[in-house]
Parts: sequence; C-alpha cells; structure tokens
Amino acid sequence: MNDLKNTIKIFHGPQHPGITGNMSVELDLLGETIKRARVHVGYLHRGFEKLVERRTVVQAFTIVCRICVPEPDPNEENFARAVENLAGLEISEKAKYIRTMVLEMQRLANLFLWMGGQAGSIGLGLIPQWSVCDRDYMLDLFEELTGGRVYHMYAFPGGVRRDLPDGFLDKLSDLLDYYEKRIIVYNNTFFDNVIFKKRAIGVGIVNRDEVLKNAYVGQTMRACGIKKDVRKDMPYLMYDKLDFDIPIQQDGDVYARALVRRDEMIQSIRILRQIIEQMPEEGDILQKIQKHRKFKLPADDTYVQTESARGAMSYYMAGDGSEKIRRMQVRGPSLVHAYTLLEKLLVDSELADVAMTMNSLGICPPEIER
Amino acid sequence: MAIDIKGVLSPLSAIGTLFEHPRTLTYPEVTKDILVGYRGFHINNLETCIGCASCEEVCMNDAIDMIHPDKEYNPKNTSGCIPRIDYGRCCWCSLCTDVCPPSSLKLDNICIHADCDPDNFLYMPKNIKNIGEDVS
Amino acid sequence: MDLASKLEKLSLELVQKNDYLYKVSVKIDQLESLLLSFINEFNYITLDSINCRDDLEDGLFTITYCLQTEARDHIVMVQTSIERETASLPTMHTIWPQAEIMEREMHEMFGVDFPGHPTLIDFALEYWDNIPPLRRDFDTLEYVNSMNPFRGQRTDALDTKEEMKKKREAKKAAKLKAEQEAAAKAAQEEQNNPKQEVSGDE
Repeated sequence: MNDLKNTIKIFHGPQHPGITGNMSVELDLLGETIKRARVHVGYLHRGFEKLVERRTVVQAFTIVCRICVPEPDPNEENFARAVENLAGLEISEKAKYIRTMVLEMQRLANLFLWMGGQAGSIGLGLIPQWSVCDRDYMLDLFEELTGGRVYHMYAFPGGVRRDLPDGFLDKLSDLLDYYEKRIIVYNNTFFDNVIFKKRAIGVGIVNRDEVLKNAYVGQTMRACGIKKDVRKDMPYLMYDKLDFDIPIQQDGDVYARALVRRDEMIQSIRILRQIIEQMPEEGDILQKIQKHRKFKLPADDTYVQTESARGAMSYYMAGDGSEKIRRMQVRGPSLVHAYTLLEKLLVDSELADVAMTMNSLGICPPEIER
Repeated sequence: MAIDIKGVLSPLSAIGTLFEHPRTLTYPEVTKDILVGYRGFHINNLETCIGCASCEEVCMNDAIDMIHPDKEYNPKNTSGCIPRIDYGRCCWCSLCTDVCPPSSLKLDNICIHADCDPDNFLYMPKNIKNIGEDVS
Repeated sequence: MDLASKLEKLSLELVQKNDYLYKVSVKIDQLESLLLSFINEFNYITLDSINCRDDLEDGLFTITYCLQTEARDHIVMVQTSIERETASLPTMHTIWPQAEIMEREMHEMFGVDFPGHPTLIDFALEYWDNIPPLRRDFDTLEYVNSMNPFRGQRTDALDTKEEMKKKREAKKAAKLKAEQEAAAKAAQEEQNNPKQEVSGDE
C-alpha cells in the first residue's frame, strides 16, 4: 500500500473513446506509470442468463446474439449447437456449410472492426475510417442473407432460418477478391507502419508459461507461440473438412497479436473460398422442430465451445424436461482476459498504452457481465 | 538503431487514395438499394389474417396486442381481432412471421420511422399483400 | 481409456457425452482432491469455467467445473452438488488464478460463499441487497414491475380466446336466429298457400 501513497487515481472509462465498451479501468498512476489497475464492470448488465430462463427455447434464441455486440454469431452457433446436443437434433450438410460460412464471415467482419479499434487507440485515424467501411460491405452481405446487419438471429436449433439468396456466393467471392487487395493496403499503411511498430513492439507481453493454465484463449494464446484453435482441436460443423492453418507468433506482445489477426484474416478468406466451392446445391436448411410450447429439452447438461474471432467461447446449458432452459452460462474470452490478465498486464506500463493493450486482448465488456 | 525505411515510406502510399472514387453515398440524394430480405416494419394482409393470436403467443417481448379492426376484413377471422405491434418492445426477430399460419404477417423492407409522439410506437401493420407494394 | 479405469478405482463413473466431452459426478468432499488429480495425473490443466445451476426443487446448487487438457482437445465436466441453504465451496484461486473472478461472480449471482477468497466484492451489481439475482426464487418480472413505472397505453388489448368464444356464440345466436326466422318464414309461406307445392310435385 506504501507504493500507492503518492499516486493519482484516474478512471479510464466508461466514457472513454479508447475503451472497448461500457467498462472502466481504475488506474493508480505515479507520473505516467500505472501502479495498480482495477477493472470495473456493471454498466451494461442486462441479465441475459436470467432472461433466458424465463423464455421457451424457441424464444430464447433471439436473446443470445445480443451478448456480444460486434460478434453475435458465435453466440448463436453455441446456443443452437447446445440445444441440438441436448435434444439430439441432426442438421443437414447444407445447413452446416451455411453456418460455417456465417461464422467465418463474422470473423472477418469482427477483425476489420478490431483493426479500426487498434489503429484508433494509437491515433492512426485513417485506418478506422477504412476498416469500418470495409466491414460494412460484409454487413451488406449479412443483410441480404439474414435480414439484419448486426444482429442476425440466423442460426436456429436444427439449421438456419433462410436459404441462400440467388447469386449470394458470387457476391461473396467478389468481396473476398476485394478484401485480398485491401489486406495489402493495410499491410502497407498499418502493419508495416513505423508508428505502430514503435508503439506496439514490446508492450503488453503475456507470460507464455501461464497461458495454458490460466485459460487464455484466441490470439493472446497464439501470439505466444502456442498453436491451438478450437476449429482444429475440437472440430465442429464442417471445419474438419476444410483446409486451413493456424497462424502463430512468438513474441506475445501487442504487435504479435496484431500479426496473428492479420494472418487469420487471410486464413478466413481461404476458408470462405473453399466453402464457396464445396457448398451443396440442394438440401434442407432447417429441420422442423415442434412448436415452441411443445419443444422440450431433456434433463441433461452439455458444454459447447466455438472459436470466435477473439478466442474460444463456451456455453454451459442444462435442461430440466420442460420447455424452458434451466440454466445457460456464457463463458466468453473476455472474462478472464479482462480480470486475470489485464489487471496484471497493466502494472508498470504507461497510461497511453492502456487502450491499445485492452484492444489487442479482444475484451468485449457486454460479454463479461451478460 | 537503423531507420525502418519501409515502415516510414509505405504508409505514404495512402496518399494514392486521394485520387480514388469515394465510397460514401450522398444521402438523401443517392440511397442504397433496399434489399428484399431486410427485416423492417410489419405488414399484415387483413383479407387472410385469421386472428389466431399465434404471433401474440410466440412473441417473447410481449410486443403484440390483439385488437379490433375498424371494420371486418376477413369473414373467416375466428376472433375478429388483428395484431398491433409495440415498436418500443419489438426486436424484429421475425418469429411472429414464421409462425403465422396463413402467412399474412410479413416483414417489409422499409425501416424508417421518426415521430415526436411516443404513443405512435404502437404500430398497426399496413394492410398490403406483398412486400414492397405501395399503400393506396 | 485409462482415464475411465483410473476414475473407477475412485469409484467414480465417467460418462462420455460426445467425442470431446466427458462428465464425472463427485461428492463435495472428494471434489478438491479429484480436481488436483485431474491436473496432476490426467493433464487437464486448464479451468475453462465454473458453472452453477440452481435446482430449486431439490434444494441444491449443481456446480460444474469444466476442465480442459493441455492440448485443449478434451473437456471434462466435474459436477458436484451443494446445499442451497448453506451454499459454500472451497476456493480454487490458489490453483487457478482465473477462479478468483469466476467465484466472485458466482458469489454475487448465486450467493455461494467461498471461505478464504480474498476479493469477494461487488462484481457487476453495486449495493445489491435483494436475493442473489440468478437464484430461481428471485422473480425478475415482479422486481421490474416494482422498480420501474410503465407507460399505461396498451389497455385496449383483447384476449383472443374470449373474443373467439364471443364470436362463436354470436355466430351461433345469429345462426339460431336465422334458422328461427327461416322456419317462421317457411311456416308463414305454408300458411299462405298450403297445398299448391304438394300438388305441383305430384
């Protein structure tokens, strides 16, 4: 406590442009150096886990996409797959392909949004303008496919809710061509930028030894040279039939995480191209389930995991023989990253690096408090 | 420390975008094409609506009320009621349109609503048959 | 698999849920030693999450520890039950640092006590003095109605079942009336010209 004698206390957030959402970091500063960091959440507590218990299974699926705003689809996928596991539903191959495609499209959209945040947090104002625009093209495709731009409410227990529109895959293929060109531009202006390198190299280094035990996931883990990915280790949907690599870096700092994300964008494009080729022409998209008052889950529980754009996202789900879900617990990557990792990582770093570090860990506050 | 020449010079390639065509649209002179599948406001074909209240039953936000219409549109309407939607509660999940037995309730692709009176959030679905049709 | 046989020695049953997911149920006094043996002997070193479920009817909380292997390719759910009234669990934050925040959340949302936990402070809710909100006897609707005023503008909503009944009765009444009228009319017609039709038929 003696260290904190001459410090000044600053709340970084919740109304700070550098924060990734409604969350605040309480900082004790000695000059520019952070001596202690405390994370506070609760500005966006909407009680989704409780709300799900009050609704029938069919009704509850519209809630889960709201758990993480920039990345709703891994939530929908987790929910749908947990219900399918419990109720013993099998989904058709076409539905699996469509869901895989939506997940990868979401990953690309989310990584573009991340790039905007990461560049914005160090003052490169041009990149956010570009990357948010590029993400919008993906949202246009989502709008055409699912009917919604941000919240898709598309993956449903038993399949997906709409078939592919005419010419959708061609449009997607064109967009991927465009993205491939854009990634070269971003390489020149952002990833190779001397300003970004000077700010990011050597900042926010994650200790490699504690990664596996402390359940760090996603790019935080892969930037430390640990080659693990839920899509490869516990393949779901069609991922075992698709060919892709897991990009890794060795340094474990902000820059390494950025490079991992860039390589993941390239891999996502590669996966999407394979899906466009392999997409079955015919097939059911949605297995009919019973009406919402009659669709009942057995008294059992399950645990599902999906690789989101920020790491493994898991759902625990338990039924009780009625039409309602007994318990659904969300465990996203943010909870551990924000508390166990960030609070330690910020100590002895500089005030200007807080927003950058948070962004590179992929912290999404709505998902911490649900 | 050696100067990172590539890192200094390559960001300057962004200057090239000055000569590119802008990606933004000058709204409202130019608008985006409205997609057919977008989830916008509700429409309800009252000639086929049977007043079964399936939409009211499935709505998880209790956004739908069944009320009497101004006149009788469908003689086969079993309850004589039609749905009215509270857009302060609706989340546009389109479950109500999925369960509608005669498929009379649909989602239009129009989604612009501005009003200074909050009571006008209680929305009566337009009585048209197909998406995109103009109201006469 | 040797995991199953090793657990059998401890008289525990391993249930395989799917290719990557196992489940084992354990009594609360065995829990800590089993978790440690999962780390040391079976290489399930990652604590992915601690899940709590409120089984109000049995008066129990069902706690599930989800552990992952070092290769992150298998998950085991270690499940145990504790009494709902005296909800208390051993803290795991000395083994896994991330358990600290998970237990803090569970303390706030379910009221489970963790003796020896260093930071059982507020997590997302500040100054909450009601029943812990994720317990199932906490009624969200009642709480919301008592805390927030609502705009009273949707009073004209009708109950369709009653409307259907009304309409059916009205229809029946109308039909009855029409029948009566028709019968009366027929009778009147018969009175007016009684035998013409019959003769015409013949």
